[in-house]
Amino acid sequence: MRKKRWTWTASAAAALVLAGCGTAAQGGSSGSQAGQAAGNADSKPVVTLTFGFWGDAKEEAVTLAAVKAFEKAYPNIHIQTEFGGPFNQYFTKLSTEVAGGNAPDIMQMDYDYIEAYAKEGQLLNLKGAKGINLSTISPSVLKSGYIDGGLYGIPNAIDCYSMIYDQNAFAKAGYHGQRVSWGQWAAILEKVHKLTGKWAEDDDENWQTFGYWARQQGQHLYNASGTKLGFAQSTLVSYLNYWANLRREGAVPPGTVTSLIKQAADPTDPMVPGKSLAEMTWDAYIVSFQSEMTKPLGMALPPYQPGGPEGLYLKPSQFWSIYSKTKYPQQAELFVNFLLNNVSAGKALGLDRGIPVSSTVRAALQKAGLSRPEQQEFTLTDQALKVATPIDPPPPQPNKEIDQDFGNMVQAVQYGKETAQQGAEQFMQEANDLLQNGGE
Amino acid sequence: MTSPRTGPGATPGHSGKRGDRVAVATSTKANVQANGEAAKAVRPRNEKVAYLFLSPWIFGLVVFSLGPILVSLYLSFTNYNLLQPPKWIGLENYVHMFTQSQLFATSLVDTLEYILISVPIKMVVALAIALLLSLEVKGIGVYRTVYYVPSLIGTSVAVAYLWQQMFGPDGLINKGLALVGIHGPNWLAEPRTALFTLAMLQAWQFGSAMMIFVAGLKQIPESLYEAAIVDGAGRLYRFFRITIPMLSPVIFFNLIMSIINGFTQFTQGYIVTDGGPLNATLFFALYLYEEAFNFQNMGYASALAWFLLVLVGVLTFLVFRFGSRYVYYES
Amino acid sequence: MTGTIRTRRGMVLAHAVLVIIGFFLIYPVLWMVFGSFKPTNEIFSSASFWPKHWTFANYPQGWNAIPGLPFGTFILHSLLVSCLVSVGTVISSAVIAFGFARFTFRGKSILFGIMMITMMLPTQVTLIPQYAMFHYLGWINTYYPLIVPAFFGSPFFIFLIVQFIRGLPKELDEAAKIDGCNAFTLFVRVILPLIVPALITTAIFSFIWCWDDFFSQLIYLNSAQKFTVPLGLESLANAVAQEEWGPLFAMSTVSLIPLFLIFFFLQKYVVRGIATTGLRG
Repeated sequence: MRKKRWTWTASAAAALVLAGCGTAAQGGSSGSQAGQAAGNADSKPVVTLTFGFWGDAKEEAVTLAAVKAFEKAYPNIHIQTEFGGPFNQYFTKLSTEVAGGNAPDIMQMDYDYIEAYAKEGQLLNLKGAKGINLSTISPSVLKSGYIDGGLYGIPNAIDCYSMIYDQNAFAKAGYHGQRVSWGQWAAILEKVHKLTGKWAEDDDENWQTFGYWARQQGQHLYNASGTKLGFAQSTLVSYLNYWANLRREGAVPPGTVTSLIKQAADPTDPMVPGKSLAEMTWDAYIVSFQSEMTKPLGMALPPYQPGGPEGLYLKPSQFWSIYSKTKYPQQAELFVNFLLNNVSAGKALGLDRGIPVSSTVRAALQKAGLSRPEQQEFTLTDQALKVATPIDPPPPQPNKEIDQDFGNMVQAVQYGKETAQQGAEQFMQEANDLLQNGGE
Repeated sequence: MTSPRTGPGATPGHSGKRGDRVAVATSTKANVQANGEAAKAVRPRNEKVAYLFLSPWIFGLVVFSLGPILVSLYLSFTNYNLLQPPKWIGLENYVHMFTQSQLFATSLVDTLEYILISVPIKMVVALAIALLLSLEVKGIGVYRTVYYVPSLIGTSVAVAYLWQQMFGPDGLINKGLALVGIHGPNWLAEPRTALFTLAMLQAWQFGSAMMIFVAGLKQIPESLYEAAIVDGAGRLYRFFRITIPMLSPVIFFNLIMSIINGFTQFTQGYIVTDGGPLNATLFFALYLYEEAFNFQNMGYASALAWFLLVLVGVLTFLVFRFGSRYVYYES
Repeated sequence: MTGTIRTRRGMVLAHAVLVIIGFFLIYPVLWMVFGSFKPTNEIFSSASFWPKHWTFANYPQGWNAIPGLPFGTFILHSLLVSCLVSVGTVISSAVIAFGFARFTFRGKSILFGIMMITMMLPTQVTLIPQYAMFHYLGWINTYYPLIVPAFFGSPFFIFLIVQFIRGLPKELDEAAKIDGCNAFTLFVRVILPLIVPALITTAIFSFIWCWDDFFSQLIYLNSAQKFTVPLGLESLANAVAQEEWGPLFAMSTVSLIPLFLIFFFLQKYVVRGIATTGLRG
């Protein structure tokens, strides 16, 4: 009885939220007033939702602050947070919970995993969900949350590839942040290396940056149905050779240095102590880099391929998804909407997970004032939005394994154990086998 | 090894004193069985008593461990991605393991090498330091604690970073080597030295083995040494004829546990090197973890686990068999 | 081994050897401890462990890093869990070990084999069924999955204590029986006092290992209000390396203090061998 009544109240609140969003631009905040009103009308039952997310200490702190703001706005809903630690640990824990039938009601989801989770029926289809105002998200970004026609994750922030570099060192070589071709970039790197004696860039070879390279040749990591690799062997060989040449020149570090990097902007990253001077990585990292380094950093769009299609794309840095077995879908929607659109939540979350997708939140953040690296992140995203092409569909399930095989192959080439040709051939053979056997 | 002169039973006056002590302790009970023969007669009842002592473990086994262990055996015959119910595929996982997977062999070789390097070093260091720490000098408790500190800190991110610093190209180790004119390698980045470096990390955390040795050493009756000294035995003789045999149950324990621990070693490869470079530190358990959780092949990972179980089980059995000839138990 | 040193020179030599070896052994730890008194940018720029600029700011910063949850909360939780685990492990493992070491019965070697086997299976594969079970019992996000199993014996410590009991002369048992001991009184009055070093070893190790056990705490504890030390440290550690290293080192140092104290105060009972328990021949 009690539960039923509450459900009714909640959907009323949800309806009010939606009404609020429809009429006012400051969607989330009027929604919270509605929620408070509904809460005051019937303050007895308290619903507890569980909320799982990954991240570092700072991300944890800002997320908890956003949760607090939500609980204040909706006193009838208690959010029990499940901080899962960094990415890999979080997914270890989440898959354990899912297998035990006990995943959190709201979970942070990743582009690489969302398809598997959605297809196995673990996520709630949010298409037409009444509690979430999606009008603040640009349709091209929202598209990334659709799988087989259902909406299984609401993107909350976007990331974009960028080149982060030491402004002074690159200025000496005549580079000031303009977008250049791969060929020009290599020449700049060699010049910077000669002028400074340092590594001009980290060796940024990985499966994702190769994906960007392939897109510039009109190819993709996988074919449309995800049953085979989607690029030619020559594309991979040219990519490996591009980096091999830079390595030979000393413009990027040798394999023995690269293999010890744990994470971008981590003390193991030669960029942090200034041993290397640039890195191609997700734009959000500029905030961490700049907080650890005193030298001013610049940020530019990564190189392009002359005559090729535009390879740049915006990636949802993560989604908010709802567990299909949740007992309280309406309340969960309210929470997701709050994280997405509410200005106080947006201010609490800041830019740690990338640029927020909600236009409401973006406008509010810009109005409130940004630090220099944050402003750089915004500017780059604006530039990228003008040129970016749609992201590839979520990768097929053996992607993680292929990603790792790719890393092993790149390392073998870096250490000189294999030639680019041998590495590419063997890797593609193995990856295609994996795709055909559906993992394992 | 179990020469009669090292057995405490051979030491005159031994059992008598023990008897005294027990007699004092239990003198109030005068009316129960009076001799060894009566004790033998109650053997069948003994068995019940034995199971009574074992009952907590048996209960815990059945409730907490047996189920999950059997489930993992079942899973090893299935295709299970954690999201969908497992699908029975017979022996496919095992076939794949032995015929198709390169990393399986690589990780097994890495693990064996790691054990062969780290276990002997750790055992010798732990025993040597345990002997050193049984010296009777002032403040020995502080030394003991200090020597245990490396084992207190576990393997955390901070330790991983420390280790990278120490063994980096310009790290402390290479600076030390440079003093004697050796140009040291980039320890963790070279496939040839990375595994060795992790084995050193393992050996560095010798504290647990050391304390078990210390406890074992203190268990050896002083009278044995005194008797030996009276007989004119030298230090070496005492060490090999008294210390080692009397310590053998504990040595045996540390050996078995280091081997099992080596086979299930995961954290170091995970945190310090992430299995690299070139998979030189891809421990078996790390490979298994990646299959289970990164690639969500829980069925295959379970098969790997059961392979490991059989391998380590057989090895341990052999060590038990072989060891029982050398291990000296009081009897 | 008789470790008595008779000459003054021998004493000085012994101290010198102990100090030098000890310094090298704990150098990395010293680096961490003193690193906690350095400003973050100095931690990685200098290989020397002695701070050039002393700062204590890392401590309050690390202590209060998680809003509303001072680091002391995590320490209290870890103390609670580790103490209970330690007590449970010592009691149950001693009882069980006695059963294995001093009785002959059918199926003994099979049972012992099964016990060894439970240690050989990597935890990663039993994790999921175990989680499902604890979920069924409603124990997720409680300390029960961490504590309760300890009361049913831990194979490592059972085996350890078995080895120690087997090192005790069998005539003891015979003598005790003659004096009218039954199995229980034999265990409590004769065996237990003689294996105190093994029991204290068990207490120390089970405490420390539980304290350091990151993985199961990560899996079974969800809310930050229930976090233990390793999870609290993790919250600090995996920063995309903001300026978190100083506070991380500071809190790592703080979390070593209880372990250090426990080890320091208990270790003397480990070495108080039979010399003081009445078997000195």
